[in-house]
Amino acid sequence: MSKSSIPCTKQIQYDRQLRLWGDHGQRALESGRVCLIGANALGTEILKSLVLPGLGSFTIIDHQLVTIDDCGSNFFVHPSMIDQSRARVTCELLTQLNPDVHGIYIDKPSIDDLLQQNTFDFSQFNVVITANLSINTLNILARHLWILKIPLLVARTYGFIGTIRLQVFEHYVIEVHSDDTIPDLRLDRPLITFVNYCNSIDFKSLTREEHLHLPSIIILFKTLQLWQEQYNSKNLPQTRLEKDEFRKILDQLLHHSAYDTHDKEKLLENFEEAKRTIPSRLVKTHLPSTIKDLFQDRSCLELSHQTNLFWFVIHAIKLFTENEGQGLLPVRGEVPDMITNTISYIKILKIYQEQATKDCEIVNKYFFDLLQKYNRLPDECIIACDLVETYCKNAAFLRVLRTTAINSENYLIDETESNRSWYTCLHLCDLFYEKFRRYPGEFLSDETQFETDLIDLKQINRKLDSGKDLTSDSKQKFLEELCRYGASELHSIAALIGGCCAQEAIKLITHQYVPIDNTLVYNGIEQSINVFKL
Amino acid sequence: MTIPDDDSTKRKRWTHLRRVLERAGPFKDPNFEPSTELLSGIESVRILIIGAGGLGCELLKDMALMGFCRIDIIDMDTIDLANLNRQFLFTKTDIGKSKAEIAAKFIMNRIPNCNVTPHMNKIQDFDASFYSQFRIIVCGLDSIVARRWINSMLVSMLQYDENNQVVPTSIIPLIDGGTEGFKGNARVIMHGYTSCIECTLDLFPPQVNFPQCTIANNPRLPEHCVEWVTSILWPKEKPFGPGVNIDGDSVEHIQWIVEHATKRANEHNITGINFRFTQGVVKRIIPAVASTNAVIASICATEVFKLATSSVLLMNNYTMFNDIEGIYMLTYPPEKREDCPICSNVPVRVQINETAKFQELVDQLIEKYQLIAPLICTQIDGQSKTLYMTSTQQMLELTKPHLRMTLQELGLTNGIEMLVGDPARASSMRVIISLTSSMETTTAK
Repeated sequence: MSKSSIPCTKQIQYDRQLRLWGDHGQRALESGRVCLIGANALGTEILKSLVLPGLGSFTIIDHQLVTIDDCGSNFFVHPSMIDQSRARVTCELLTQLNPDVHGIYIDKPSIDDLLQQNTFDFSQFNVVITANLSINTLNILARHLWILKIPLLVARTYGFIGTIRLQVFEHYVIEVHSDDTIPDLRLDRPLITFVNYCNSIDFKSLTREEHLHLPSIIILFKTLQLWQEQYNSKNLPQTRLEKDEFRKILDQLLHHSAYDTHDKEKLLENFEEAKRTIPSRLVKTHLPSTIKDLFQDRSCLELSHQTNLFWFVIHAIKLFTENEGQGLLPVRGEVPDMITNTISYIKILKIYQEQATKDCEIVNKYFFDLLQKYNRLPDECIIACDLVETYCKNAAFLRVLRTTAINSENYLIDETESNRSWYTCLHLCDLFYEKFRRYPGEFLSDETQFETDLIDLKQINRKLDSGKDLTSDSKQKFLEELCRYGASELHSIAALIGGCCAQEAIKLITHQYVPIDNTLVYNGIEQSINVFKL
Repeated sequence: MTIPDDDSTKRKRWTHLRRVLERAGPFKDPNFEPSTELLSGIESVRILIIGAGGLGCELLKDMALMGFCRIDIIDMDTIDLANLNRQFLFTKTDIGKSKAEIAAKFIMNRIPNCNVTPHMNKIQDFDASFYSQFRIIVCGLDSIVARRWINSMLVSMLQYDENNQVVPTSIIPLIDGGTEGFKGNARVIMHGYTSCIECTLDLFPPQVNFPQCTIANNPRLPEHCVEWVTSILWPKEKPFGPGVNIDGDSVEHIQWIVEHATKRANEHNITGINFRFTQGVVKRIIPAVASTNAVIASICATEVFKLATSSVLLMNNYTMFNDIEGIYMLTYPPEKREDCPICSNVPVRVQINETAKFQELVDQLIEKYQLIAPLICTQIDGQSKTLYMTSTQQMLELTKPHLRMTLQELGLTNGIEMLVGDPARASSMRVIISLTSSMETTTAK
């Protein structure tokens, strides 16, 4: 890594996001293919936040023509384009945002006909997104995609309310990028090389300078050794009493004969750091329950020729854990910064990095043995090297997301959670649509129509709730408010759901960050979001 | 070619908005009266957007499609290639041009009937008479100083009644949004009723500064090596001539830093220096994606629409967003500080030992109120006196000796009031000195 190359135009253009998902995340995004059904305000806002960061390609399916009210909500139409194909117009204006992105549109046949003919290949997409698609069409599409195992994001806005539902058969999260992770230092199950290094430091013969620069992790480990000796224990201090004793020992180590008052005034930053970091450094090292579940997953246990590579790596990590790892995951190989001199810090960093490399090599060997056993060589081995390293670094956070299918949803569970009630009430609007082919309150000119719609909507609610016709006051209020909205697409609400939904698509495409599991309700009145499982 | 501006076309075009404007519902603001007039009401509301960057582009689009037609936008910056992954009103051919002007032009082309007036200026170029033209001000800034400045400007424009309560009609609501990577926040500020920017300065992430001895003697991370080059080696070697400061956008400058930081890193067995990393440290680059900007701007736009129409209740009043693990959004009202130096409308009191030097007082003020370059004046025996000023070389030389004088020597007696100005504020803050005797402080210690 001597000379670094100057970034090219594309790297500068995407600089601010490459710092988040890296060059490999960008490559994944650039080969990503997304299908959008519905080029309305919501649909185009979703695509906007995918086209700008450089998605590979998108396909818009929409058979409608641009209307005058599109011009009051959709940014990717122009009044001069009224009565033209909305799919074509929005496709053109969206690709203008970023010439790197390839856009295709289908304005004939309609999505309903497309599904009926059953000739269109949805399996070419990484993810299919619907924007305000009507319930009947959605149900057919969702069933179809569930069988194909293609992820589906169902986005919707309705007045000040918005929702996103994710249906995914199986999604792998490889890099979580969690905000608060506890460093993988294993003071309770120390690396042999680390123990040797610590033992090579003789506390009694340290010079004043060495003592002042002693890394806090060494201080903690030395204290732990002394504490364990004193208590004849192999564990970490747990009870209050034990922890107090631990601190006492730490305080004893703090003294050095050569310290003058000036040193004391500086508060001995390294010892202060040791005390401050006790909660995050002195933690039990264990196998996270999430990864335990992955090890026991049928896909991990029963590898086959078709199994996704993900499960091969999981199986390889499992073998490592059961053998060389002695019940633990591969070492992550990262050491947080601490107040010390260069040599001490780099020494410790190298100890952890070398162990991480060793562990990774072992996992890699298991992985290749498995690939060979199941006849997956040689086509997969080219990509595999970096892959295993990434998996090992993130081993503690690997996850699988499997949602329920949309068709098996049970809408009727009424929850006290108010935002969940919005979702239930929106379903009633869908039932209204099924019956009348329009949404309640959609017609604006006629006030009596509004009243009739509201009565009909409440009627539908009562039918569903038969037996317990005492519907809560708040639900009545929600229905009335939704009737007021009449399925209006307010642009700012579409922009919010658009941003969220685009980011969920990026998560699905890059396998970085964690998608919602599995239903989101956005309440634009109080500005709140709830996510719950259906 | 455009659509006719007649009433019936307009009404058709805005059907989506009209449903919530011409009908009431259980979540409306108590003041809301549904009316067909409200749509044209929105058209006449004057909105000011501050910043035409990631949030500003989104805000402009959102406001225009929520029916607002009289929008002003301020931004002093020009367009840069690295803006294009999110600032969607710009293309490669616009690089180097004014953000405010190009953004305004794009919106007026796409959304006829919407009037956008661009200002390629700093916010400090305008005074109260300019800001008072607007009903609502929305901020999409990346600078904390600029936020504090506009906040204090709006506070200085407030009127108070005989009970020292803010006169509601003198309030210009401030909607503020901010993003960093996948995180963001948005808030509604109604001075006198909610907390203000200055009440909640601790909500901003603290700036990372490495200790000098780490940079000079004990580098451990690649960023320590970069900081060493920029803070120690550059001033010493002056690689591009004397007086040439580091330009984070200059490829040559960054390359020079990369080269020397790599050398230092190699000497210390540190890895991880490359161009992108180095530029990130030098420019303190904050990562940004299109989606977060879309989300935060849309929250701001929805709140502006609510303020202008009362169609539904306002949010209360600060919201945090994060979509790294799932999607998370929390809304709560941060506490309004009764002793806020900006919005409380009472002079702040500073306690200081009677034997203290003036320097100690200045240090205390800078730390407590996060000042940048304070200007301090007072009146002694009816004569106004400038105690401290750094903005011109002449005044700096004149007032610097004050720092070493005691408060007594300067004539600063107990209870005296000073006026403290700062680049982070549009108006001065009143500070009353209360002297403590040296006896008291020693025992307190």
